[in-house]
Order: sequence, then structure tokens, then C-alpha cells
Amino acid sequence: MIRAVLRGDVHKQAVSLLTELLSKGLADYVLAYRTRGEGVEACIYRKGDVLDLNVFTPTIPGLPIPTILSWSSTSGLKGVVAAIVKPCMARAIVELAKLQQIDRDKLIIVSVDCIGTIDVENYKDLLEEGFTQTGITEECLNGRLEMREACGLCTDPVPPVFDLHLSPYKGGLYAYAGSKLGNKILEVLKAPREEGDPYVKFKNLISRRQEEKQRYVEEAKFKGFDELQKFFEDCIGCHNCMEVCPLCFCKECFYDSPRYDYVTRRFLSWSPQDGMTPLLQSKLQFHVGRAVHMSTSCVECGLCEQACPKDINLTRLFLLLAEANQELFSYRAGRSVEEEPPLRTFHAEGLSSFEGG
Amino acid sequence: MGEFKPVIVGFLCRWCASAAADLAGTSRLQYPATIRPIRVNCSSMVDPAYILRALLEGADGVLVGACHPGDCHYVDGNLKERRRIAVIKNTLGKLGLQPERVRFEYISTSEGLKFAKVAEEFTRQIRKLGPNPLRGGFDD
Ligand code: SF4
Ligand code: SF4
Ligand code: SF4
Ligand code: FES
Repeated sequence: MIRAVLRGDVHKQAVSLLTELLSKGLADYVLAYRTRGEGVEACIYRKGDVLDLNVFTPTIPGLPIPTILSWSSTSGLKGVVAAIVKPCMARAIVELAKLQQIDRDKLIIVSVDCIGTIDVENYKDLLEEGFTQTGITEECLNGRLEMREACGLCTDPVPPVFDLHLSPYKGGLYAYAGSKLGNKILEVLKAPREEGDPYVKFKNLISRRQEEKQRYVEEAKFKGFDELQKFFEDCIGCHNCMEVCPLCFCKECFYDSPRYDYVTRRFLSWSPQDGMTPLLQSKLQFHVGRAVHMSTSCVECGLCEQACPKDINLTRLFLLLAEANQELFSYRAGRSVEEEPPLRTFHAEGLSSFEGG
Repeated sequence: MGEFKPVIVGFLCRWCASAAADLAGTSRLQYPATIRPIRVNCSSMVDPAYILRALLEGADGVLVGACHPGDCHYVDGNLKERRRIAVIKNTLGKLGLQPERVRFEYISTSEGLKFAKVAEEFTRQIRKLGPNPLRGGFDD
């Protein structure tokens, strides 16, 4: 793979690369997060704007960049967007593009190295305590700050699909080209170029996490209704987990439709003979139903859990079901642009064990 | 408590399994009257959400009856449905929710006999499993 070698301060190099994308007309917009005061927010920049963004923000706030891209694609935004994303979000973009929610042709995926992010709430606390953004990143890298559970099990510090990938090194910043478009951009930028491999420095981390994830997923299985009921006991049915999920792109969730308004009316009319009507069913309809709809495309980012006001361990549920349901079809969400999402296609062979009794 | 009479929701494709159920009836074949048929235009319109809803609202089993591969009136609906069935059964399995309560069968219009056999076998299997534990306190 070709990479550009940008010597000097990492942050400055990243900003000047993005500024050039805009000034040379390679991109019309840059979409990224910036930190201001104690908050972190998504921003869109145009040519001439001051890029007060942060490329390596060590958190992902409640408005994921793939979601913003799907809004702009489906509402017909003209022009090319360069989106700065973590690897999991790059994978979500690939899924959404295959599901016709993002226009891949008007997009430059600029991914960044990521070994983990912290919960957005903790991030705000740390800023309040006077930590600088780079300070937080360093502490994360040193393992002194606790990262989100999903991140500790994430096996993609560099995504499988990207146009440009930014990776700091001792003397500056590498910008890898992961596509034809990426190569073209590096040519236009005229930076010194060489051969390189963005994955190689993470080899050990990836294999360690692969093992850990396998173990985790094995233990994540549920033993039945009672355990599941306990798991969702505190769920208040706010559907935040769905709202924030980059893969839940439906304009109206099936489970927010009047079809599922029946809870009290119907449940009471089923007046039980043995004195007890558990109302949990409606929560399970939503959670299991949602998982059945989208776990084949889940990118295991854990943003659902971060958004949950009741700290339900949704990472466990979705890692379990994403791994299991993607494996069924030898699929992996966000791995390639060509592989069809499993529920969008079929093969005549296979799956015969699901037929008959 | 009398004998356990399973309630099985049958989503039957109108171009095949539904007609087969009628044929089984008019041929006076003997099979347990456990299946509550719901006629659908193609097996592929049975979103797993419906299967889940039937189970969570107390059905003891769900049968999806589809045209044989190659015979679906909408070309490939049955094979797409097979994928959805695989996902829901796999999911129920990982959650410990008895995937055996969901059954997917190809039954053509002329297979009244197969329909009766499936009804019989599936009912026996569900009897063995017992009432759906998700049923909570409901009575049918
Ligand atoms: S899931 Fe992976 S890519 Fe996403 S923030 Fe966590 S470590 Fe980074
Ligand atoms: S981990 Fe949660 S938020 Fe992320 S894609 Fe999966 S279900 Fe959606
Ligand atoms: S975010 Fe948490 S509380 Fe809200 S519906 Fe999802 S699991 Fe339940
Ligand atoms: S028409 Fe019968 S399964 Fe599609």
C-alpha cells in the first residue's frame, strides 16, 4: 500500500492535509468532531473555514458520523464529503452504502488509528478536570484510562475499507491510500510517498483481541428466558440504543409504529388465569426483533450501550448476535464493498439445517 | 390441567402450503388441529418480527410453509425467507429461547399428505418441549 509521509506535528499535519483536500477541490466538505469547552460535537467545514477539529478525538459522541452521512445522502446533499472516522464507523459507512443509505461515490472515508475510545460522559468529566485532548489520548494509549467494553474487544484498529487512513508515527503522520481515490489524492497532494502497511504495527493487538473476543462471545450466551428477563429488567424502553445505532437507519422503527402500541390494552385483555401478567414481552419484542433485523450488519461499536441511560450491557448482546449471525453467512460487516448484506441476497445451497424439523 | 394442546401459528404461503392445508382437510386426512393458519402471499413476507411476536405472545410453535425451491411465485422469496429463518433460529438459540419452536417447511399445493405429516410431527415435537415458557400467565 502507498503512504504519504507527512513529517512534523501530527495534529498540524492532519489539519493541513484536510485543508488541502478542500482548497484543491478534492472535497467540498470535511465532516469531523471538535471539542469545545466540555463538549464534543460534529461539525461540517467548507473551503476557507478554520478547521478547529480533532482528528483523534478519543471518544464517539451520540451522533455518529455514518448517521449524518446517511441523512445528507438521502436528502440529496451535493458535493463530496471527507468524513473523519474511527474504524468501526468506517465499517458502518460501508454497510450503509451497501444498504443504499450512503452515496459511496460522493465520499472520502478518512479513517484514523484507533485502539479504543472512552465513554463520552467520562470524556466530558476529564475535560472538566483539566485534561487536554492529547493528554486523554495518551492516557488511553498507555492503558491508564478505561476504554469502552466494545473497544477492548475490537479487532479493527485499522478498518478493512478506507480511502485515506491516518496513522501517527514518531516523526509525524502517515496517510495511507486504501483505494484508487486515495491514491489519486496522494498524487495531487505531492507529499513524499513510500510503500507501507497500516495493519502491521497492530498485529499483536489484533490477535490478542481476536482470542479475547472469542472467549467473550462464548461466555455471552444466555441460558434462557429468566436470564434474558433479568438482563432487561431495568430497561425503560426509551429506544435510545436504536436511535444512536448507525445501522438502525429506518426513518421510523417498526417498534415505534402503532403496531406496537398495544402493550397495556392487549396485555390487560389477556387477563391471566393464574394471577400474573408479565409485561416484559414488549421489551423483548423490541430488543430481540431489532437484533434480528440488523445484527447481520452490526459493527460491534458498542454505541448502543454508551447511549443507554440504564447501563444495560448491550455490548454483550450485540457482540454475541453479530458474531453468530454474521458467521452463519461467512459475512463480516464492513469488510468489503462487494459482499452483499446477508438479508439482501440468497444462495441456492447451504442452510439446509434450518429446513424441516 | 388437561392434556397440553399446543398452539401453533402457521404462516402459510397461499400458492402452496395454504392450499396443501386445504387439500389435507378436503381429503379428510387425520392430523392434530393445532395449527392456526395465517395465509400470506409469499413466505418471504413473514418478517422474523412476526415469528417473534407470535412466540412472545404465547404461541407454542411457529410453522412457516413455503413453496419448494424454484417454485416460489416471486422467484426467490422462499430462499430469502430461509435466510431470515436461519437468523431468527440462530438468535433464539444464542438467547436460550428454544429455536426448535420455529419450523420452516417446503410444502407444494399437491402435498396435502406432507402438510398432515408436518402438522403431526411438529405437534409431537412441541408436546415434548411443553408449553412455551415465554407464555407467562396467558391463557388462550
Ligand atoms: S469499536 Fe474499535 S474502532 Fe470503534 S472506537 Fe472502539 S476501538 Fe475504536
Ligand atoms: S454495537 Fe450497538 S450501536 Fe453499534 S452497530 Fe451494533 S447494535 Fe448498533
Ligand atoms: S437504551 Fe437502554 S433503557 Fe433505553 S431501550 Fe435501549 S436498553 Fe432499554
Ligand atoms: S410464493 Fe410461495 S414461497 Fe414465495
